[in-house]
Amino acid sequence: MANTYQLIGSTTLSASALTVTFSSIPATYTDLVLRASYRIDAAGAYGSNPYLILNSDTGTNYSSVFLQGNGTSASASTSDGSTLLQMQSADSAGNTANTFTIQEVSFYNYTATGAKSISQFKSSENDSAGNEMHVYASYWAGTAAISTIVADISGSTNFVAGSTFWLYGIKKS
Amino acid sequence: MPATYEPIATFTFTGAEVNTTFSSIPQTYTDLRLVVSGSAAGGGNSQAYVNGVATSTSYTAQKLWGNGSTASSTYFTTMSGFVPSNGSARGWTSTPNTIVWEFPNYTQTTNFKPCLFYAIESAATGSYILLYYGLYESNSAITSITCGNLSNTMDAGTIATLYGIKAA
Repeated sequence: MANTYQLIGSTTLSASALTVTFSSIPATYTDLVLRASYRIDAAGAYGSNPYLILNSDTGTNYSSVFLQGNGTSASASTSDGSTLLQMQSADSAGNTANTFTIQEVSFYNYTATGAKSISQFKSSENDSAGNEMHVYASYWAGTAAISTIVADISGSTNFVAGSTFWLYGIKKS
Repeated sequence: MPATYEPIATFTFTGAEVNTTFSSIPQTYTDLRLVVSGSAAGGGNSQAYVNGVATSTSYTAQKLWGNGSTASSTYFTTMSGFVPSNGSARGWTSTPNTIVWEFPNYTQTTNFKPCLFYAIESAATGSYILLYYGLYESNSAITSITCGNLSNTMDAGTIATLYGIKAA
């Protein structure tokens, strides 16, 4: 039986970088899964919010709702009509050393001709000092198959060396 | 490296079906994962039930959900299946939703069957997240799963795929 969970590409940063790009993504899968383990060099704890851009679309076409918990409280928030797909807070300089945020982003039926349904699960670790967990329901209004995914951070912040991004394709048959 | 995430079956809705059933599920995997992604312009609650059992006394579930301004949790003692929109006005819409059901250790015959399932109800405004831990109160191994809509037809192009996950 076919192996349906296939690695399309991966990147492990050997030096800090502002962006990580997956391009020319084949349209031959059913779903895409982006897994990432990353840390950023922003000052403070959870110092900046990385995001994703799909197919170079920077229009107001991204919407998300998310649940957040940190061990003592839970909350929910929304971001409708955004110009980017929020990944929310990441481990940064103020968090415990060597802790990395882990994140899984699923792009369902990514070759469909309509808008796209996206889920995200994320944990930002801060060792014994406390963690953050996020769960997202996201939406991209783009109607083209997703062919490019860029992970980015605004300003002068970078993903640090050792950050890794994996893109998998999942086939239905 | 052995393949451990394998498609058992897939079904693409034509616009005429309310549900589809995956039957004769092989008992050779460790876990099952069912993904339904698509829409139903006519609305209706999303659902999955196992072994042809859709009676309200057979399922329970704990729900955690959020709509952007509120997060809450509810316990359901009666459900007619693993229904992500249970107890809310949520369900299939004309915008793309994705429902994932995870069935760990689905072949064991000594305990009730847990199911972790979640709904990603995506929309330009007003998206929802619904997370559930549910229980099918039967010791029987899971041999079939029916999924789709409680009442209305699913839109053409909606895809349901059942995956098997092997421990090795």
